[in-house]
Amino acid sequence: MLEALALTLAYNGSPVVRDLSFSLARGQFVGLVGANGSGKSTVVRALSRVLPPVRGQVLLDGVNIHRMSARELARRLAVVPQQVTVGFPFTAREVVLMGRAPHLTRFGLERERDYEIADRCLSLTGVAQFADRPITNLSGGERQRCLIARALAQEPDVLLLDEPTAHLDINHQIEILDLIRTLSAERGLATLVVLHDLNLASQYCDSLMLLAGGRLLAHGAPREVVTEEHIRAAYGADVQVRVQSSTGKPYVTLLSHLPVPAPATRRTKIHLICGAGTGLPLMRRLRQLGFSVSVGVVNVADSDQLEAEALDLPRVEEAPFSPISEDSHQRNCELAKAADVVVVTGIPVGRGNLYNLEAAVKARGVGRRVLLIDDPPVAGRDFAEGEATALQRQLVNAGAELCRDAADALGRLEKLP
Amino acid sequence: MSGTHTARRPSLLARLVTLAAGLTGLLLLTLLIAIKVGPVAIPFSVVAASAKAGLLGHPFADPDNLAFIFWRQRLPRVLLGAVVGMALTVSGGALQGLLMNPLADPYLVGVSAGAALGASIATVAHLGLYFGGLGKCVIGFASGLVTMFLVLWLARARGRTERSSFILAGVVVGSFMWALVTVVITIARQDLSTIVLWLMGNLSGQVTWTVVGVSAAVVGGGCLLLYSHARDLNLLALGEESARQLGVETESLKTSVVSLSALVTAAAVSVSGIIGFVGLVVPHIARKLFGADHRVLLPTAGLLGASFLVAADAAARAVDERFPVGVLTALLGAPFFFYLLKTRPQSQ
Repeated sequence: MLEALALTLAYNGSPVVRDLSFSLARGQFVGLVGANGSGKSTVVRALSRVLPPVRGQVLLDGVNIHRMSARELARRLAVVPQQVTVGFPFTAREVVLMGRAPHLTRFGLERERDYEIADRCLSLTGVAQFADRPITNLSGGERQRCLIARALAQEPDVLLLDEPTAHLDINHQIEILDLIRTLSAERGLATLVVLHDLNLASQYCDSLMLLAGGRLLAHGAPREVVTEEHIRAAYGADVQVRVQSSTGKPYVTLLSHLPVPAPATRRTKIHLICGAGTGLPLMRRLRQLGFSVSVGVVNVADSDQLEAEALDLPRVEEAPFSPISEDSHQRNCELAKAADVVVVTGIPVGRGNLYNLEAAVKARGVGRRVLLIDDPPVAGRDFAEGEATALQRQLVNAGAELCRDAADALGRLEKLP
Repeated sequence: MSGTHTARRPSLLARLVTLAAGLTGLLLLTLLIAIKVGPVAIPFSVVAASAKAGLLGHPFADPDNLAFIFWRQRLPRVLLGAVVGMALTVSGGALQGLLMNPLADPYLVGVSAGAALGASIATVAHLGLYFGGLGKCVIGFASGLVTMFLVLWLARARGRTERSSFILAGVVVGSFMWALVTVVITIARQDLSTIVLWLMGNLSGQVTWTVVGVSAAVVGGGCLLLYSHARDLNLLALGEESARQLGVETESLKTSVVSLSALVTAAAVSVSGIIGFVGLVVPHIARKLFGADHRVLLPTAGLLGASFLVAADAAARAVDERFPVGVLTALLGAPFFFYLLKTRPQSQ
């Protein structure tokens, strides 16, 4: 029914969407998702003839929409905008009646039938009781319903919605999406809805289109589109995607919100040698992945120590701003030897904490796997006149692995049982 | 549920006809009262007798010139007041709708300043006698239209016109024109009071039947054309993009409404000077009374504006034959406008 062919869209010459093709059939309910600025609203503007494409075309039943008049298109395609400010106190009924305008002649007035359609749409969207109230006095959700009613009053075949729930609370979001879903199913509309909430989108849409950087990154059933890999590429965010067994729909959780499993779910024990916040990118993540983690020598009130304490990890602590004592070093060595893998983060190394590297050497000496995160490179954080650099070289010679950064180390650790 | 909504509502047409009839009645009543007001009281009997004599072609004795004053001064002036009042309120209401700004007024797009400049130059250069004695009006009207084209051209960028650029271009061009008016005033020593009185907004000038007829034709035609855009103006109230998605060709609408408003405003200003606040306040009152639908708003505001200016001019005339009605409308309009501003409903 509605078809986009190799659309390239631009504002003032700078392209926003490139080479976008898709089609939307009668009865389909498709979600358009993507990060802010990925071009979702731009696509809606192009599909509704507001923004002419730089290249490509939009076809409605095979006819280029730019060959139709605005009125012709408005009889077949309706748009529910994100949010509107209404300049004048039109009543809700008057606003909904505006949806009949494309069907009227130039000087024609609305007839009884138009009033009936408007009233039916007001009832369908549950705002009939506000029909005679000025729309400027309605709440955001009520106003959004009026706008949906207005779009329905156009009696369209295609319905485009640009984040219809953007400014609503979660209850209203669900109400509105339920409503749109039901109505478009009843009327066999081809519906495209822009949503920024991936979970709502997965829940409600038959298929999803994921835009990233103005290109269509993925298109298909929610389960195929909403994957950890796609989300990372489109949003630059680490997430966990679970498929809900009850619905078969994917559910996305941002990793920092993931719960930490109380008992470890993996066998591998990891000892993390860190300090000064260098352990933060790893500590919680490793626990979320299910490893048991211990931490060595951290000064009290250091951000790594606070995180370890918050996660209740076994750890060796030293008094604030103090060098590592012989006693602490011994305990650190024991924890390191008891682990399967020792990870040394890119800590600044001075005379006071050279023991931390010594502990890794000891662990390596008894055959433990050692990962050295060389970020930033050791030369820049060696405040022990070359001794830290020498110890790192010694470790590497003894078989320790050098990792570019925390993500590299995580990648290697994720594979462990 | 639907049972409560099936009650037949009066159609828009019926409502429009009722309101228009009522307000036309109000206008006629105002006109009737206004023609009585002035330095010379004119009894209806004289008017009726002279009209009868005129129709039958009989000579009419008019020892006190009462019939002459009525037919040549009072009646044209009162009717011109109605024309100007309608012009200002219809163009004001249309511009408020177009710019989606309830505080817009017909002088916002700079046309009035242009017309004022033309009329001032015509006064100083004594061009008033050209064009059959209508030199000042014709030149004022023409320079108003030139200003309008200048504003339209300035506001246009890349084949599109943002609504806000109309306001910007109008304000800038207007200020420039006002500066030129000041230059003209400085030069014009002996015509100073004529120009200033005219600028304040005045219906006491040389109001001939030709002036009334021509301005009524221009204003009437312009208002009718503006009215043909009333429904599109409604759709614009939800934003330009929404309007386009509802089938409105917004670019041509904007150009059309601004040009027509300018035309109507220039016609009004060139015969009456700058009469302030009518075009701003009366559409507001009409919107409060009759709703936001421009198909109802424009005609009701126009009729209301006509009655209002006729009444205001009668009041001004009661003070003094040459008291500028523009001063009166500003004195009444500004406080009322403050009231509107203070009681403006909070939109979410």
